Amino acid sequence: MNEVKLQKVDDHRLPTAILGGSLAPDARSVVAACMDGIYTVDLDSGDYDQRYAHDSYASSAHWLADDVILSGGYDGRLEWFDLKNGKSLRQNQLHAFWSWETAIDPKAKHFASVTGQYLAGGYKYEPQGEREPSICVGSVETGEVFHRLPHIPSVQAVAFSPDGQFVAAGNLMGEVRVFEVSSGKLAATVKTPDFTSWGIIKSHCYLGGIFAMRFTPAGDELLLAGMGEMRDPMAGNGKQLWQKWKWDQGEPRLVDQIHDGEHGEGLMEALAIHPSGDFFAMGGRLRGGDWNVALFALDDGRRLTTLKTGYRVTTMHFTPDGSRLIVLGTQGQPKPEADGMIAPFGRAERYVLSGADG
Amino acid sequence: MAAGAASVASFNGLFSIPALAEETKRRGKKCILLWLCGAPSQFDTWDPKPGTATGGPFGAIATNLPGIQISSLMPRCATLMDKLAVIRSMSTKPNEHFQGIDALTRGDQPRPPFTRPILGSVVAQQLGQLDSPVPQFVLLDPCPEGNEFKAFKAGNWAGWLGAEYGPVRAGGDYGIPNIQQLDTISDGDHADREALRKFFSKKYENDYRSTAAASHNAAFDRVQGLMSCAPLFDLDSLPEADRERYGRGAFAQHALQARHLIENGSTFVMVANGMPWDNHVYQHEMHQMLVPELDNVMFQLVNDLDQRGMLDDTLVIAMGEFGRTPWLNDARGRDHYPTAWSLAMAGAGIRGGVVHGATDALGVEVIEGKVDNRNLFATIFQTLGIDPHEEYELPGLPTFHRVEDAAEPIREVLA
Amino acid sequence: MRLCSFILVLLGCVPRGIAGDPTTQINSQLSAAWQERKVQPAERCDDRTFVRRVYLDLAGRIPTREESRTFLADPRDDRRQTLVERLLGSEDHAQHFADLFDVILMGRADEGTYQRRARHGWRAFLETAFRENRPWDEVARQILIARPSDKEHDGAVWFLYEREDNYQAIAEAVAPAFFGIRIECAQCHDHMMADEIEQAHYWGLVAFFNRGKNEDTPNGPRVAESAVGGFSEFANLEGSSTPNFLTFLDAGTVAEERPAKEVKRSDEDRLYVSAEVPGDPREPIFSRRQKFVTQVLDGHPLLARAMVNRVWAILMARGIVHPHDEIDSMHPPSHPDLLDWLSDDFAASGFDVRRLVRSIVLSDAYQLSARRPTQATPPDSFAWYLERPLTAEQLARSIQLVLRGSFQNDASVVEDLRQQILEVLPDTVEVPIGDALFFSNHANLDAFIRASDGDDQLIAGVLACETADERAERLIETAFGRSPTESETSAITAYLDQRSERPEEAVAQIVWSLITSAEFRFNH
Repeated sequence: MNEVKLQKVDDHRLPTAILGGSLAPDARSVVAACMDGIYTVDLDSGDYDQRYAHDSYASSAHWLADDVILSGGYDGRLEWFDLKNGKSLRQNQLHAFWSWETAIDPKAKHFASVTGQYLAGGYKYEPQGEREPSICVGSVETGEVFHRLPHIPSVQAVAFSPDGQFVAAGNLMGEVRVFEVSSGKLAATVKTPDFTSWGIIKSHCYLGGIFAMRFTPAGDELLLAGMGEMRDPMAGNGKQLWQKWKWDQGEPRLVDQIHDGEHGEGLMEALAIHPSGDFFAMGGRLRGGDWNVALFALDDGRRLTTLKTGYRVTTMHFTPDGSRLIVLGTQGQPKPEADGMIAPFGRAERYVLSGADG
Repeated sequence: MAAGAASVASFNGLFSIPALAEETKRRGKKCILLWLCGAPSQFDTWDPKPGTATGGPFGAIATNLPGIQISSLMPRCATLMDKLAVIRSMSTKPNEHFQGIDALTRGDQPRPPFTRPILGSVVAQQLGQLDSPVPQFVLLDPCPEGNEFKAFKAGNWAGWLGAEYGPVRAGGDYGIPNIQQLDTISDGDHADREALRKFFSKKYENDYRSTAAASHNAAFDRVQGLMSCAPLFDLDSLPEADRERYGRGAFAQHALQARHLIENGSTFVMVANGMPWDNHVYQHEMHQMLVPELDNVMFQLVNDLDQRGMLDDTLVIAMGEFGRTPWLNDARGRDHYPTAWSLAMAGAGIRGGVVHGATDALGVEVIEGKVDNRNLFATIFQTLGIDPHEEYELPGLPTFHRVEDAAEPIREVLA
Repeated sequence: MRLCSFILVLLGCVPRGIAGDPTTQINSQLSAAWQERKVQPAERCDDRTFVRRVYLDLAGRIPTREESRTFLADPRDDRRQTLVERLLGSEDHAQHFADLFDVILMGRADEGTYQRRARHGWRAFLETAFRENRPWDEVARQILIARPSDKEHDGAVWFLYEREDNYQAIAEAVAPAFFGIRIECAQCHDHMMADEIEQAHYWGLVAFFNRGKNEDTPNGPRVAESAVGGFSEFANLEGSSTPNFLTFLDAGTVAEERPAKEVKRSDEDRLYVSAEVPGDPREPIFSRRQKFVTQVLDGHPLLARAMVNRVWAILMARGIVHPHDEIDSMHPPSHPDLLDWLSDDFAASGFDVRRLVRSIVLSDAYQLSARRPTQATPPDSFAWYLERPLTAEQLARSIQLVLRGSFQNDASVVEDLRQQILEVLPDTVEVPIGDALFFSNHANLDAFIRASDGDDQLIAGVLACETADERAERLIETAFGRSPTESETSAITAYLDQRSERPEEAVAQIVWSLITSAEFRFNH
């Protein structure tokens, strides 16, 4: 594990930005949630197909068994789509505002989707209370929603525990609410101020919060990712930040966070945990420093290796065998050419891991 | 110079000789500038491009003007479009904030050594009520920082008109310092002491034919009047229902205060909140909040003025210093874009229900009705009844015009 | 005008030594210009006016009643010269000029910053410079190299240090401070109006300082300098980019090895020598700051010219070039030959600031009445003494003197006023309403007046007077340095009569009305 390295083996382009996505069961393809719809991408060849579209950006997509895709979008809708016959199976208008992110539990039994629009609620732009329930939990199979759970908008990240018993949702203000899936009861609340900025330079408002979240393999801790505080929230120069919180016993407590000297600047919005449970990947945007993807040991939090991808990373997955890391994201959108065409700017890359024991 | 002529921080109002009648105060035209500093995205406000590569995530909705859509973040203004004039074809030069703010608040790019007065100073000087103790040009901005806008605020706003036409600044912590009489002195003594001061001071002013002393004495002449209108600057004195209706954010609260000041005799109120619109990063996260606030403020303000019979005389402008790029950068943001952008106006003779100009399918270029800051300022002056092309002959300077090059007003939006 | 003095010399009317005297030059050149422009100058001011004026301009405060009386009683013909000489050697003079140059070089600041400036020796550095009349070029060098040779010069680092490695802020401060020009607008493009100020000069000046780094050493704050880095390119509005060569104005480009793009030169020990002062940061062998001083600053004509124009502006209320810190082709001098002559003389005298100050205050123009001869007389003719507002510090000391007969430079009234009245050399006089509100309603000022109730202080002194006339005399003379008019006496008497049951309050209110009146607020 000390010598773990990442070697890029594939580098593919998609027409537009990839905001989310997941691996196919065979791990050779991904489904990508893009600005202009849902794509499948063959990672060996780079060939891609646009399968369908949301009414706004697609923000997340899961490749279920039997080649069914479940996606969420900024149109507030969840859609089930059958790749085999190219037909939409179900559309569920869950939210009036965006589905920021969706999660599927490990057995693919439950989905959760989080929403919420940040609106001015006070003189200093404290967020207004929610106008619709911020968290929806339902059945993957039937689409039925059985919990609509409260939070403070905007709720930007969601994750299930490895045993599928808990769902956690994190918001703009750095508050994570953990609910019991069966009952919908609030099990714990983690509050961290470290991911949220209140601007004193250009503006007065809140920005940031939790942009990615994962339970650790044991399920008793939560990994959170985002960006550290900034004086000028529009500078995008907060530190690249993860924190690990013990949540399941008593008052939640901060266990570990990115070590001093190991971070640069930029928003981190992707987390992935290696199947071995030994380390995790965090990725996002490079604003200052020399990396935007890095691997960290799960036990002691030290940084193992870094990557500089040259684009903003939005989603990462390890293949089930642990041999590869899939990195999805986007460059800046190019200026349209004379004919109105825009060069492709979505990015999908595959890296081989070496030196990882286990 | 070295200490920085903080013409905004050390506020200067425009008031003097109590004389004229109440009636003129009601008749004069007035203006509220909702200064969207930092520059909002036209795509997420007045010129949506739904379903295109540059349209962004927010989508568009129908309005009460057939065939006209605006951003889905503006449902209230969608019902108000018959009262608004939207310009979708602004095309200007400066690409950086300071220069953009300069051009869009003064009407033109600098031509040193001449310093063109800012819009509020011109309007206060041309239309201000000299009988009013109420400051004629008020800047409401609670944000002490603001990057380039902060630097701009520290500059010379009133230009050649002179510091007395600069704004009184209030908002947030910017209460007006020393406006309350101390309880160590009675009203009578406060007034008598001032009368004695004036007696001594006038002697010097007259003996020395001193313009500096005249300025000094004029400042003291305004003290009583300004102290009398201290309550106008107290946000907490505004009706709770109104405060709730406008929205709780600082910008909305100060927009309400702007209405209150205009109702009570101010001529020009500029409402800002630092530079919140400069969303190079977190564009969606910021605009999801800022645009609905603007939507509601515009809606409440225009309706309130209308219901009070003041819309015919009060111009409301909502604009920033340029627009945002059609393309998104890699930080999920939009960058500066002066080439093709939008703004909205209402009242004081602006024709409602007009959408002037158009951009191409992706919002990259203006394809119809291209106008710039000069056309805009000619329009504003024209509708306020101020000669847009008046010539200035100032000692030692080339000839200047209120709006240069005889730029035409935008006729389509003038009633 | 030079011809005039030449002829005078030939005719033997004026001895050579006096033609070379700066006061004589000022007098002859200004009067020649008056004749040429058909300007009738104001009358010479009387002694009572002069004593208040020159105390304010040189000592930073009004004279006490006793000081005025001593001067007015002096029968000697050269009493004005004698007074000037005495004031120039006074501690008050060092304090006053330190006040002025603190604002001019550093800008106004919050009280915390003022404390830091004092704690780290900047204030003392300025005071010493004027107390000991140190050559201005030497002061400039010490400030810009910022490597103090001993404890006594510690404050020299502060000009750079307080700007916290903000190299653009440093460049934008260096240009007006030592070259009398403003370069801010050359950041994005060549100066629109003054062709000689190019964008390359802006970024060149930035580059001379961009290897600096604030460092807190055992010796105190220091500005270390790196031997590497600081290479970049700047883009103009059209988007084409240019390397930031070490260049400023007409001084040419300082040669420097420039690594190829992408090549990052490593920061090796061999590029440095250790500092002469143990504990100070090591010094690069190729020091950009050093190069700036030796190759740009030393001998640059603007160094002398900027200081002459600034001192002229301090004493005459506007520069020969106006505004005083925009000596560029857009702003021609009103008396070009005089500015040339004085600048040459200043440099030739070894940058002797006190000689320059003395020569101006002893000139005829400085001693004219403050009454403008006609409305048509232009201010840049210097045909009358241009009135000017007292600076915060002048005002604060003078208010203390009026009320208490003595002053402290660190009194709370100084702090309150310097947070309110920011300018020391305003281009024009516009009194903001904020100032009037401050004087009308500021709690601390009010409390200060009320607390001036000692037996030997003004309020008690006035109340101790036996007659109404004496009370008025005491008040007006203390505040304005003259006798009251009849109407003033009756106004004061009436005010006191109406409040005979609370005389202390009444006197305090009269004092307030005097110190807030224009006659007190301005130097004239």
